[in-house]
Amino acid sequence: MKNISLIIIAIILLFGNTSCEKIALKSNPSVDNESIYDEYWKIFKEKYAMFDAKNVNWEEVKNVTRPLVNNTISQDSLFSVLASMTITLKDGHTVLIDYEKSTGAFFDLEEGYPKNLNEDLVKLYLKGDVKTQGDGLSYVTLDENIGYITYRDFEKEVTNEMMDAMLTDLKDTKGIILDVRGNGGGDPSYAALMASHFTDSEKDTGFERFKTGPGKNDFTDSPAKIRPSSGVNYTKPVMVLTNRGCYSATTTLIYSMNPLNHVKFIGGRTGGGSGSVADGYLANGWYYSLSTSEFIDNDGLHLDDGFDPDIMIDLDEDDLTKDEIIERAIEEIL
Amino acid sequence: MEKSKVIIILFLLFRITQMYGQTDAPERNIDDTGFFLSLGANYTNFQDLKYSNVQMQGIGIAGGLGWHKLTEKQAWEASLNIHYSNQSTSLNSFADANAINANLKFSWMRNLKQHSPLKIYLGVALDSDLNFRQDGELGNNSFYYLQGNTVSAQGMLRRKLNEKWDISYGLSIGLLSMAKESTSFAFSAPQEYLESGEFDYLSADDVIKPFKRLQFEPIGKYTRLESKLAVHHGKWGLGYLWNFTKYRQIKNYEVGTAAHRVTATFTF
Repeated sequence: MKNISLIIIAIILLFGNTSCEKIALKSNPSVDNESIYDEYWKIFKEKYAMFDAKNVNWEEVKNVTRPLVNNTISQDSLFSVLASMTITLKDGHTVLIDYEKSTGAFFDLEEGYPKNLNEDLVKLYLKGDVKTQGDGLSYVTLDENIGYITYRDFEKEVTNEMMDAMLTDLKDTKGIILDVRGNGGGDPSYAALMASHFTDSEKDTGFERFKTGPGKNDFTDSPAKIRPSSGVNYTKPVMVLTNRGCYSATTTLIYSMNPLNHVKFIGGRTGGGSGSVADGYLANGWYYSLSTSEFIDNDGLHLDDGFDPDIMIDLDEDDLTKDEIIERAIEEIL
Repeated sequence: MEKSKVIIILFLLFRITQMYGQTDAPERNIDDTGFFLSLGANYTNFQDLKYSNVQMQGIGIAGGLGWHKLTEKQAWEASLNIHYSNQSTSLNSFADANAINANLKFSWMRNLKQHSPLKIYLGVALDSDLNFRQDGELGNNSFYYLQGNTVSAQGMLRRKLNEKWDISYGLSIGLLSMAKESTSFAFSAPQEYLESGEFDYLSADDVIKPFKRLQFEPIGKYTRLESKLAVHHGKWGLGYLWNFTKYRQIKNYEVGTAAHRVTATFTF
């Protein structure tokens, strides 16, 4: 009898605990078309940070697109509706992907812009005694005694030790060309670290405005500064080469270095992507990402749509003997 | 919890004291001290409303080691428990996360009914709990943790069933915690840093470290519950443990995590 009571008590406790969980947690959402639409629209309404900067009225977008959705349309049709909403924002960080059908929606920020990067031309300069630091940094001293650094991917680790070693190798140069064309981004902390090795004093660079709550005006600002590293800092002339492929963490590098008097930017307008990104899955498994912050520089410029370099210059695609952007950078240093 | 279920549980607990208050089993003073190892399985449940309403569940393994001292007067315990589960959802085949929980706990209780067949221990517990999750397919949101350090009120009923078997039931309710969550409402950095305007990418790695800039959170904001039912036979024990943590850093956007664990314990 006692043993039976024990078993009953154990079962009651088990179900009691489980019931407590069920009450404390919200029930799973539905995955019908209308629920998925509502989920997607709400995520952006509460978390997207740049409706004003992008001049998009998200309520208006709902008025236009919500009537297109009901629970009888196909999944492809639903995806098309959500895709149109995604592209409306013209934000390279805002993406919707259906992995099951290998289909995605994203804004092509490079369309209509010259590429301004030819790796075969870069090899005319990055040759001879080329050194590397980690997997991402390659550099050489050009004949003009100018350091030439290429770095194409902020996913590739950058450490203080790497920067110290590289800048020690280049310490006797007249200037440095930092070629970040085609660098689509990665880890912004690497960008901030890299920038810190090109200054000897702290400077304000602007602020990042984060979405910190679901309300329309729930933002907080975090001022951004560039601070000198405790290691080797290079303060002779630096030319940063840009093109439309410069995006995301590369924008972090750009806004960090922009206030520095010895730094100039040469090349093409960048892709921007100044915001920080959040990502996740909708209840039906579609992957999404969106910008949940925006960077605004000291001049009040919103950098998400791109940054214009100090010297705008394009590659002559018919001339395969030189890279005009690198050549202009050399000229500026000399 | 539904009122009817609460009433049933309280009634049954009362019946334990009644049914076992009169017994033919000879009294035996408790004196049980030693290190213990535990091993078993767990079922976990996770939901972060800042991220999604989708509940993620998973099955995994649980293990622990510790030391306990149980006498007629007092009960002491120090333990480290770790459990792992792979969590997914029935709603889609893409959301998938590895979840690890590590819990370090110290507790002390005093027996309020010494030399009685039913022993009632009451005391305090201090635990440091780290829930860590990783969904490798995501980008910035791939990594998440919830870290809490809690002072709890803890109680235990322990009763000898016969010469060889004991049964115990324990309940722990968190009173005050210091907690930190790795994510804010919309970004993979703690809310407190963003709200204070202190976030920058040069110190981003430092900002997300656990145990740094913990926030005091009272019961209700950081809720921590634990209950355990166990049977003991000499050096062996078999237990079912349930723990539940809920953190309301942002109103209406709580994160909740629960674990059901069945473990076998050996004291040596």
